[in-house]
Amino acid sequence: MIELIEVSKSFGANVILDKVSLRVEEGETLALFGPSGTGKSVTLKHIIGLIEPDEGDVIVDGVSIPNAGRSELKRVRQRVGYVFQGSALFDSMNVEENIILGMPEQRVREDKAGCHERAMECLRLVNLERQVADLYPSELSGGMQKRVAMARAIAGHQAYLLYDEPTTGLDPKNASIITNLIAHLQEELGVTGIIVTHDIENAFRVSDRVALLYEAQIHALGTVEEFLESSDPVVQSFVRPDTESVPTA
Amino acid sequence: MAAIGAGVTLTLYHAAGAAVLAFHTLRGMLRPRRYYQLMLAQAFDMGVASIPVVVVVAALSGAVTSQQSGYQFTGTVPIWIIGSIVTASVLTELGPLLTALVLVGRVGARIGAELGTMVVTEQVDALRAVGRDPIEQLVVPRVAAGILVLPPLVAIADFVGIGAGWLGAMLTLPITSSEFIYGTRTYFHDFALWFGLIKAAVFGATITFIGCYVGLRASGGAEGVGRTTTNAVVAGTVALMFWDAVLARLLKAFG
Ligand SMILES: Nc1ncnc2c1ncn2[C@@H]1O[C@H](COP(=O)(O)OP(=O)(O)OP(=O)(O)O)[C@@H](O)[C@H]1O
Ligand SMILES: [Mg+2]
Repeated sequence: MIELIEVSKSFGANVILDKVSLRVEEGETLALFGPSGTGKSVTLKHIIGLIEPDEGDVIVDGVSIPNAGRSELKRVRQRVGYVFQGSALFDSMNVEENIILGMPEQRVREDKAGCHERAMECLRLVNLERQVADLYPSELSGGMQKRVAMARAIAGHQAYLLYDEPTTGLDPKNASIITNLIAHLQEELGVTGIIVTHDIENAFRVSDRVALLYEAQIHALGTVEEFLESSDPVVQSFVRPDTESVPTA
Repeated sequence: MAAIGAGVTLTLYHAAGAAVLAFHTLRGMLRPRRYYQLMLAQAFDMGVASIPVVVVVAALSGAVTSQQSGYQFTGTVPIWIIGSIVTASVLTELGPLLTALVLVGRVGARIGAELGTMVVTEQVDALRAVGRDPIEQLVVPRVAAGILVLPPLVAIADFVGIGAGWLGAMLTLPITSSEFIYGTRTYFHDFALWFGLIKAAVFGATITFIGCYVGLRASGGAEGVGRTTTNAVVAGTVALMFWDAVLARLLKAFG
């Protein structure tokens, strides 16, 4: 379970999160929407302790992240896969080494062959060819980098996955492959996940619930049906952006 | 007044930040099995590639020193003193300090840019996200490599510097080879050599550590990384001069 309890965060005078509470149940996938710059990425970063809340608490897998010790934090982080918005691949390592870094350290030391196989399997899952394994991030297109980032996030059979715009920059076919992979991870493997995205259609296909972050708060939270039928003008503008202009924060 | 206050605050802020990083780095260094491979790769990069420029700088400084002392030579002291002067300046000052200054530009700047880029492209965050410790993974191998690489580079610089001093003296001054070597032997004691090499290790740690510290604090895209590189060189140079002054006093105290 992932839980944010009254989390507040400001950068200087810029209030990003104002007492935000959010709960993602075990095995559930939540889609997180919101205008650009509202704090979706900041919210995800709180979950693995890359950003500390000014106030409030973040609980992941039963551990309070802001209060966790080094080894506890490390244990949780190895159970959480994170697809960074900008991919954040290590440019001194090739694709295979990048993917292997997503696996637990001990396994990497003890089972080299197994890790290699798993890396190849992850490449296949994100629809990349084996030959890509030896390339360096600078030799990949943006969409390929994104899929390698996805492969790295799932390489260690992570129980939790945080996807920061996993399909942005992908062609419709690859976006659909990634969306199917997210659905598969959830349905077959019971992964608990949060997807930050602007891709409403694909997100609605895989998510159990939807949250809308707007003006530093969770403006709306509900099932896909509830969202589609909502009469709230802000929600409306997100669900059907073509009929109304998107409000900006 | 306000400016001075802000300056003091900023200095204290960085001193505290550097102390925390130093603590974690030292702790990481206690487990060499975890980083020796990364360290060797870094050491190779820093060391081997730096040899040519270190040799050139050492040769020039040795030759210049023997010329300078030759010109000031008035004849009231024995000529073999030039051998002692060259040896003393190369072993205790020129060898370690000039080699370190060369490495600030080559290595400190590169580390700052490298880690700075990793910060602004979120690679450092990604390392933490996969449960790795950026200090263990990035800082410890680089600082350890700096400590490993500088002493042998300085030993090379010492050798080349004294050799060039000898050659310069032979070619231009009224001194025989055996007089020069006599002067060298008279000054030379193991302590000066060891002291220079220990100083080199301290310099190696300083250059790489400052590159890492500054790099990990980078922010704001390509421009930020550019600033970081400059800061790494400036802060590295100042820190080297500071250490040099402190260590010179220690040499006096023990020598
Ligand atoms: N480290 C930081 N320091 C200062 N401000 C920050 C930092 N990180 C984020 N912000 C600010 O927080 C706000 C929210 O950023 P965030 O990246 O979470 O937006 P987002 O909702 O993910 O937007 P997008 O959809 O464009 O990715 C932005 O205004 C940004 O300027
Ligand atoms: Mg974002």
